[in-house]
Amino acid sequence: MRISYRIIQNSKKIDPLLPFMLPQCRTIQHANQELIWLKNHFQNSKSKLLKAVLQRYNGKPLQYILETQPFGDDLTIKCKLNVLIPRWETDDICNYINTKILKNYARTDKKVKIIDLCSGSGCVSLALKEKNPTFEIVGVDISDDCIQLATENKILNHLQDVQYIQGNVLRPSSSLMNVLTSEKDAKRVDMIVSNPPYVLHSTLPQLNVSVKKYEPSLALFGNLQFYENFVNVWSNHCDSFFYELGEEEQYLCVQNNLDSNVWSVFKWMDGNDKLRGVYGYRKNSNISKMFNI
Amino acid sequence: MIYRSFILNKRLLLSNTVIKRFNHDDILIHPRILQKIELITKNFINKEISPEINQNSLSQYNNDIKQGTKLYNLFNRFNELKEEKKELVSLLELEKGNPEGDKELMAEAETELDQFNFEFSKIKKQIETTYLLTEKYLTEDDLPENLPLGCILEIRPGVGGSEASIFTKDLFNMYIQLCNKKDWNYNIISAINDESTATGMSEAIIEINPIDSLGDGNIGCYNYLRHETGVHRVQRVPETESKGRMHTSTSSVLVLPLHDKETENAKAAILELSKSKDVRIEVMRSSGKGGQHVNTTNSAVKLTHEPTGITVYIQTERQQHKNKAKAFQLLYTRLKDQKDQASHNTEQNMRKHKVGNVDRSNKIRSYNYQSSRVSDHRLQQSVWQSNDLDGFINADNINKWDELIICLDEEEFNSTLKAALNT
Repeated sequence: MRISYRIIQNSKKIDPLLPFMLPQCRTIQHANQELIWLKNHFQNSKSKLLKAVLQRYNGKPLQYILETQPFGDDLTIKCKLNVLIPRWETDDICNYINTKILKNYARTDKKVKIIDLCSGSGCVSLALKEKNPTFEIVGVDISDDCIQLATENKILNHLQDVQYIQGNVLRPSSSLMNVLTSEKDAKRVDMIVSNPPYVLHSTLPQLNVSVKKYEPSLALFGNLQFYENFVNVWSNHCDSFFYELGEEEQYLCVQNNLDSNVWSVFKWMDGNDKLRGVYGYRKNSNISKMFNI
Repeated sequence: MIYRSFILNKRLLLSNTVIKRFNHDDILIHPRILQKIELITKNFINKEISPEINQNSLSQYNNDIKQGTKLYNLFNRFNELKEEKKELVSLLELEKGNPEGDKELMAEAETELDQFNFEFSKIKKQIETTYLLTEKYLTEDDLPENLPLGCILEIRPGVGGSEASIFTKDLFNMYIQLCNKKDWNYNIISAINDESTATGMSEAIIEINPIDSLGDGNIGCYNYLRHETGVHRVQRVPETESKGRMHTSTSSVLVLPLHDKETENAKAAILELSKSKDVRIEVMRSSGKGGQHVNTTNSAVKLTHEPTGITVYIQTERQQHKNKAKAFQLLYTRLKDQKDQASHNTEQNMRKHKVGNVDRSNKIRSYNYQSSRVSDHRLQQSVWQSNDLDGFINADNINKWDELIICLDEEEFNSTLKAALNT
């Protein structure tokens, strides 16, 4: 939508740089806020600030310009090209898992183990680790850039004991499977969390420039493959799960294909009242009593 | 507040007392206070009357005894000082009569006398404060040393359209300057530019905290800034005026005490508030699909407290839940203030005479640009006025600010005392 001439004129009066923020921010108020963030970040260098404002004008995501995004309770997640930027919905999901499900969870027989599939920047696994320092957490991603950045983020936030493994989630090799489910007694982990690519290819024309031009398509586009893959492969190896999603059919794919005698499956709505997740648990498992809904 | 103001005012005070320094009756205790002391002596000290005490009034009674004893002791000290001073004065007069008197000794005695006078006023103030406490005109929480240190300062335009929003921005800059000069930590919670004027502001909220809460200046920002609450008036030719006419516009300032985030009570209350169904939480509503489809940087949070209609809007943090936490803290502060204000008002109404002007809709200060003058309307007894408006509004002249706050403190104390003594 076109921005009205009057808004551009008014924004110019507040700050000559402000009009350049408008295409991405739309309102003066928000543009001003973003400009304040940029100014704080590039305090010392006027030329860098100008460059950043121009980049923002061209649609480069703010998080790639500032290189960070706050996440979880007190985490700073580094953001780099080729790795998806953490979304606030994912932040909410982590908060939900931490406060509603894992809050008082502990096992007497062994360490609690959680696997983060498609870990990306590592934001989900690190947010869970931050609140549950005794848990064993493993992240898996297919992209080398992601594994590298996630490890960087782990060090940046002074967290230990989070392992990142490069591997194909859709076709896991037997060696990867062995690492992930190495317990002798039961070959099941306590929880699998995932934020797989779920944007439909058909929505490409409607996507914002900052997403379609700058963020990795590998981390964005997909439909049912990851949810089918969960039902066929990963659900055999876990007691509970939480998958982020974007479409109703993705939820139904999980809901309809899991054995309802064994699994309880639920919808999760985000703060904007949109269907954003599917989660569930095995009815006879240890972790099931944490889901008292 | 009281003690500190006297230290600062010492010089001023002494110059006033030079004339009547030999008159030892110059500092008087109001007869009503004397009556009270007499009563206390009878009741608590000599225990001539034993009051009926039941379980309910026991703590009240204990408190009465505590305050009463304090008052009694202070009064004794006052009398002691009076005797000592009398001696000193007679000694001085004796020396004066002697032409070959020791000049050095005389000078020494005179400085001592000054100190006595200072002591006297200090103790008088203490007696009066304690009296107000026993009469329930003040509560322990009202004492400056018990006030919260930090505060939240909110500025909003009043009447005057765009000129009012420009003045709001001027005030905003003024308080920021003041914080810089005072070395206070400030944190801009919300600063919303007015879209129609571009140079004005439609809302500004600043959180202010002293840099170190254990510092020497046992005075918090709240104690200093609480006098700012009210309507500020500006008289000038606005930059938006084309015909050169003078306008009068206003902005309103509200200063709320910031109760320590760390206190258990506040924490529990905030948690309860965040779970309560009364609060409607709104986040940035994107019309699209959300999630991976968009990369929104707008993490603004708006809270609406349904029963009272109070709304809070925070957008300064880059993460939604941090904005939310901030918003709940602010909402809690506002609700608590509203509650306090309501209970304060009912208390006031129960008394025959209202104490001072506590109404927030009162005009408290004028900034007249044409004559470059700042005047405070609450001051009746002291004549404080700044003829250097620029210096005041840029907080260059910090002494002028301190002076004003001391005057306001005294004014407030005196009017409370007056109300207490005239009932």
